[in-house]
Amino acid sequence: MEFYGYAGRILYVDLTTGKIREQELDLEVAKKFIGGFGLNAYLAYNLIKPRTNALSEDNVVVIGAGPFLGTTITGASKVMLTTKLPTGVVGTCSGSIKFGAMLKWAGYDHVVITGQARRPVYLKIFDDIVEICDAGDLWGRDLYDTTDELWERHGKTCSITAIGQASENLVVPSLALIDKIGHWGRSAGAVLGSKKLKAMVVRGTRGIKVARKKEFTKLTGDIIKRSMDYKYRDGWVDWGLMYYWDRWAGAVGGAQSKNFRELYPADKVYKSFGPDAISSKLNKTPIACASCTSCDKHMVEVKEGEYAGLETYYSTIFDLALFGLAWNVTLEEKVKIHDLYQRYGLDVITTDPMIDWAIELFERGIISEKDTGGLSLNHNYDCLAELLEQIAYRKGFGDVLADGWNGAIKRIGKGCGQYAVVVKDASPPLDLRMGFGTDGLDGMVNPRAQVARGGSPTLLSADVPFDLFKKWGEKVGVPKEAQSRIFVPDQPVNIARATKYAENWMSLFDSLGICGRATINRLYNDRTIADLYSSLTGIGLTPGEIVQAGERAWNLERALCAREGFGRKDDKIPERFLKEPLKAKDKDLWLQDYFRTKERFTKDDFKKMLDDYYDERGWDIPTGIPSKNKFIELGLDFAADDLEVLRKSYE
Amino acid sequence: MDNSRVEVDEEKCAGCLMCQLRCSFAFTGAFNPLEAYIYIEPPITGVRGISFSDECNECGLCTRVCAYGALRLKSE
Repeated sequence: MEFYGYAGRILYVDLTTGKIREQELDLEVAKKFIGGFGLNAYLAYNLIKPRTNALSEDNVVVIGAGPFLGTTITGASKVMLTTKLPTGVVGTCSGSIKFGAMLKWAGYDHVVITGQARRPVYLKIFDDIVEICDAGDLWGRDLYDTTDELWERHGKTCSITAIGQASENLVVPSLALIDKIGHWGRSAGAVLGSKKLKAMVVRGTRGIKVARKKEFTKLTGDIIKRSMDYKYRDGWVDWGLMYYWDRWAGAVGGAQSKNFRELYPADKVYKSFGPDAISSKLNKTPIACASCTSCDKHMVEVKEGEYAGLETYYSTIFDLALFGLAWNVTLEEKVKIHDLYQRYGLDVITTDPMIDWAIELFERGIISEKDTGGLSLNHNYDCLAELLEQIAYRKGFGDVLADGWNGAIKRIGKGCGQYAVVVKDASPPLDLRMGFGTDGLDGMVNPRAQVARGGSPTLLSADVPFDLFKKWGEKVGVPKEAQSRIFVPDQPVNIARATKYAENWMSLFDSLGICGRATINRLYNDRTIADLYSSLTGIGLTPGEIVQAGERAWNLERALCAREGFGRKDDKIPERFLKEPLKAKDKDLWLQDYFRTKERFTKDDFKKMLDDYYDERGWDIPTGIPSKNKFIELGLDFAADDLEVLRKSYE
Repeated sequence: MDNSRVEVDEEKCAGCLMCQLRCSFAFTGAFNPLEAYIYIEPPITGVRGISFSDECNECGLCTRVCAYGALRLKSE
């Protein structure tokens, strides 16, 4: 059968038996469950048994590269990994660079990995040649070193996903990196480590065909031109997310530090870690993902001093201004710490707040040097470097933090959980007290907790005006009848109801494989997406149908988590956000609604917000589980009865 | 092979592969960058290099999709 847009095959690799097989893609299923998020969820629903131990042989890893990958569709580089995560949910992690495109060029839309190797291995996929190779000499080596070795061995045109020592040691907040820079975070690395899968190497030359070439070339050409003509593009390529510094600093005034207790002011961040400081101390080279015309990744090199010549990789150098603001370190030391995170394969988004939390526990006397093996916990470089090594190798007190939030809270005890800012065993990267928009609510209901998803109309900006919200709603295909509930004149936009459509939009992007960064997201609306899909694949879908595919995928992932016992009880706001202000120099920032209509945002306000969100989604309000009717409406009949049984079990 | 119509600045290449994608699409009928007539050393691997194969007919399509200024049409 001839495939367009799709590579047309699913690769199955069983690491226990060593058996490798492939299966032709069923296009009827593929158009209903689209790509990296949609078909991943469908495969996961059928392959991952409920309550599977994430680190056991029974867990399944589903990798998916959506139909837009491997083409000239601007920003189409997202490759998704769905699995049962050690945090307890079945979640989908989003990576990038060239891994997904290479998989497509090699002839595979999805790779399903089952079982557990007896000895360390890596997977090699070179078109039709798929081999499970010995990785005995790579086990124990850091992530960058492993990637370099495999580039040396197999050529630098390959795309490589690797794990570091943290994942080998089943550290919960660990990750896998694609080509040293693209993240599969939030404990996905530990799952690969449990399978003794040190790396995956992909190279492809089979190519991707297009159904209607002329139409497709015109559509993609127009989008590329719009991207290149964007007045802020050059600044973005130079600085990525940090280019929006002024907007960000003006809107939120800084970033959280010291375990979400203090606001680290924007002017101070700028002085230490802003563009001027970076330019004077680091050389930086933009790195693009496949098909990206406005990249946001950088390779950096320290210019002078003790770490002169140190080269490392940033998924966004905005991380410098977002994480580790309490550390008493120079910019160069901060880069070195980032390098340690990357080499060990530790996820900074969760690990950094966990360290902040442990330091607060130490300051409060809840833990002492007796618990830490004599280590005095503080924000100095030596302590941080020591802790990262301890976590990665599960040594000393690091072994406690290596168990992730749930594990560490249980092991330490003594009421330490009340100081933990955690949602579903993961840390929120953004503080809701600096703005509680659609991205904020998504963070509370998302299986992987807050992930700073692009595409949200409120991300990193405050006070979005009513008209812009309306324009956003039209672009992402909010139906007319829903618009009347969300955009009511002379009333604040209903953030809870709008969140559904922000999520569906990003679910669609993840499905097709488009990056969610603002400079990419602005190029697309529901019509362009539908036209691109139809001309690429030859499968006609209307804007409404393709947006609904995003909703369908989101609902199916919710069902995957409901099977694991997750529901309304887990969609919660960290207590610290509700009970304490974020302390700024001259004011206390309390949690407020997005439009700041009230002085304080309470538990009751959140209850109302969840009620509205579930209602808009067509989910059961008391349990947060999708209703049977909603699943039938979305064509998810096969899962509808399962949900009904689950919902009744809550009664 | 040198390209008489395309001016190359390897230092500006971010490695997006758009040039290889566009070239392969035009000349092989599919998106297949490793079969393109232009070849990019991936900058992420620490090496720099842009080269053209003997089959390149200097059509200049690659310059139209280069967003980073690494490939430009030489002025006539």
